[in-house]
Amino acid sequence: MDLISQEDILWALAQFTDPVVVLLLVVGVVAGLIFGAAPGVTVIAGLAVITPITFDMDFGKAMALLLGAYTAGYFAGSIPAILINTPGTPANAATSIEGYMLAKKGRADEAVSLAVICSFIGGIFSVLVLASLAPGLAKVALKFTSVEYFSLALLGLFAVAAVAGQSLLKGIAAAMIGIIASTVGIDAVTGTQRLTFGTIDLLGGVPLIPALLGLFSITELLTKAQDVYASETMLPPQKEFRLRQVLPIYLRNKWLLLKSAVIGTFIGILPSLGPNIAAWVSFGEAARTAKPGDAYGEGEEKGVIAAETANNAVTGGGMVPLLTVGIPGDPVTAVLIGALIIQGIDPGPFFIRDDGNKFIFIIIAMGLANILMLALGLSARGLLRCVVRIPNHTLIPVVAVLSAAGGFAVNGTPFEVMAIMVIGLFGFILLRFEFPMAPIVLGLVLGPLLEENLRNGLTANDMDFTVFVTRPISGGIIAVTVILVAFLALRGPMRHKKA
Amino acid sequence: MIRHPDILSGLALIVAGAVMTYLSWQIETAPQEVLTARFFPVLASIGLALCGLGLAIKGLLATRKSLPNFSDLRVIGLIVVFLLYFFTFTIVDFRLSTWALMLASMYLLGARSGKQLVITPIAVSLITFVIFRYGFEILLPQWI
Repeated sequence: MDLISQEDILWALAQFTDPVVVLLLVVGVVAGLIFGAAPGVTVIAGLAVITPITFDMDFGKAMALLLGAYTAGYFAGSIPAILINTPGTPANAATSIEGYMLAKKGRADEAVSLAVICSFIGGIFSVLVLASLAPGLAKVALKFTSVEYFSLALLGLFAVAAVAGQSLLKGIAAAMIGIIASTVGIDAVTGTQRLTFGTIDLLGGVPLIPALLGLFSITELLTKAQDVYASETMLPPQKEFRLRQVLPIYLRNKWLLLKSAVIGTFIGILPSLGPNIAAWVSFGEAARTAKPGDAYGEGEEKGVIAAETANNAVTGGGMVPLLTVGIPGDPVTAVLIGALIIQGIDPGPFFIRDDGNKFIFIIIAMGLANILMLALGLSARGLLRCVVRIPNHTLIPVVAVLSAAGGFAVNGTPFEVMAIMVIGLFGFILLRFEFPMAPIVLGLVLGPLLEENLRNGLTANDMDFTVFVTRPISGGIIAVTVILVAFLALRGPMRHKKA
Repeated sequence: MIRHPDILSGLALIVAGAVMTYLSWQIETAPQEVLTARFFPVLASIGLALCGLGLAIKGLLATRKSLPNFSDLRVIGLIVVFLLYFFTFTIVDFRLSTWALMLASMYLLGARSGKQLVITPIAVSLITFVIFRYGFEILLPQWI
């Protein structure tokens, strides 16, 4: 049985004959470039701000806008990483090591050009993997029952909770906060009101979009306000880099490129790891296999190639679990799952079978977004450097305005706008105590999935809790979860001992 | 004096977990239900309290560390401005409230150039209004 038909492909292609869809893809890429390039404002915050705008849009337009921003955001984070040694997103931290050293040698233009081309290669590679792997995985996932889904959702949640912050306990506690928040509202099974305190606005549950805006946008802005006077670094006069110089560099590093793309895509598929770990692993692998003459630590182009190829290769990889089992592997795809739910789509094993046309649309949109990112990134790289120079005293209130307007766009009521600030303040206090934000959002998104499948699994198996470990696939997933948590729990004390 | 932030956050989580367990226990149930509506929230609340307990113990065993500082006047000022903006968002004209937010926030965050303080708030409020109103067709609060 083929999950994708020729009609699906034709439908998806036809969507791009609408100039508005193409325009929104361009707008999305530009927005991603701006949010990514603005130091301290991450891709997640950008997507959280954009998502409410897509409420009244149809699927094609909404996804064009969001996927454009998603694809371009990670590359753009390399610009401040290279120019001012401040990664635009955590995924660009590895880039700043060699990229900034290149900039100090007057080779910033070369580093930025390499970053955009590598991001394009990594992105396209991962989209091809997504296109070839996801339908097969979805077929397998169709055979899963509630028991396997519960275990998978648990793995996704605990994996993010375990690696999101400095402390495993704080990560799990943050996930619990998200899960408790997800139970607010009317219980889907019994119709009973839960934890609404008589508030009509809470009958529909804790609103996801205001929660995203509060936790990712407001907390970031308040944190950023603390180091508003961070000093800018002066760079020497920069050499212009000609694009014809690129080809020999890539031919010299073709295996590194391929290896980094594979690492990034594979890490993207795994729950929780995400682009920053992909970039570090790839960078580490490049450094490990350094040849005599490589100048790591002094401005080595291979460092930029490895990190930037890998972090953008995560974009396609990260969509694999989202579109095949409906479980976001990281906070960015958690925002995307929210956007898909808004569109009335239930991402999961039935998505590709029932909405194969939309799956193809996503593939094409991500491919085109990568091409646009390459074109815009190369032609406007001089202009993008200006974004880095937007002063914090202007950037912070502008993002706050966009968050409020975005929250208002959800329903046009005061509740959502106020919720952004209340949740944002709560998140800021948690952040000051070093609680990570990502598990809260994952808990909020995965909570209903966990509860529904736990209840269904237990009811269908006569309340036998052992079913989650005795069924082979579920048992295997639970074992992986336990090993992961145990490993990370032991890693902390071991680190302290070594220190 | 609390010697580690984890002790404070752990205790706060224990209290929050206990309160949430109590509140979850108050959720109405029907006698014939096997898995009631309170089952999952109670489970998660107990999990939260246990995390708090673990964190508090970890804090007690850890070396001394100071509590996070919440007295940065710039951040407090910004929170007040944001609260005013977000809580009056639907009752004040978007252009006016955004202009006021921009002006107050920029000043708080260190902008001192007269030209910047005049032009940027007006430009941001008008451009955002036009993009949302005419680009995305979202009706923002307006008096006129």
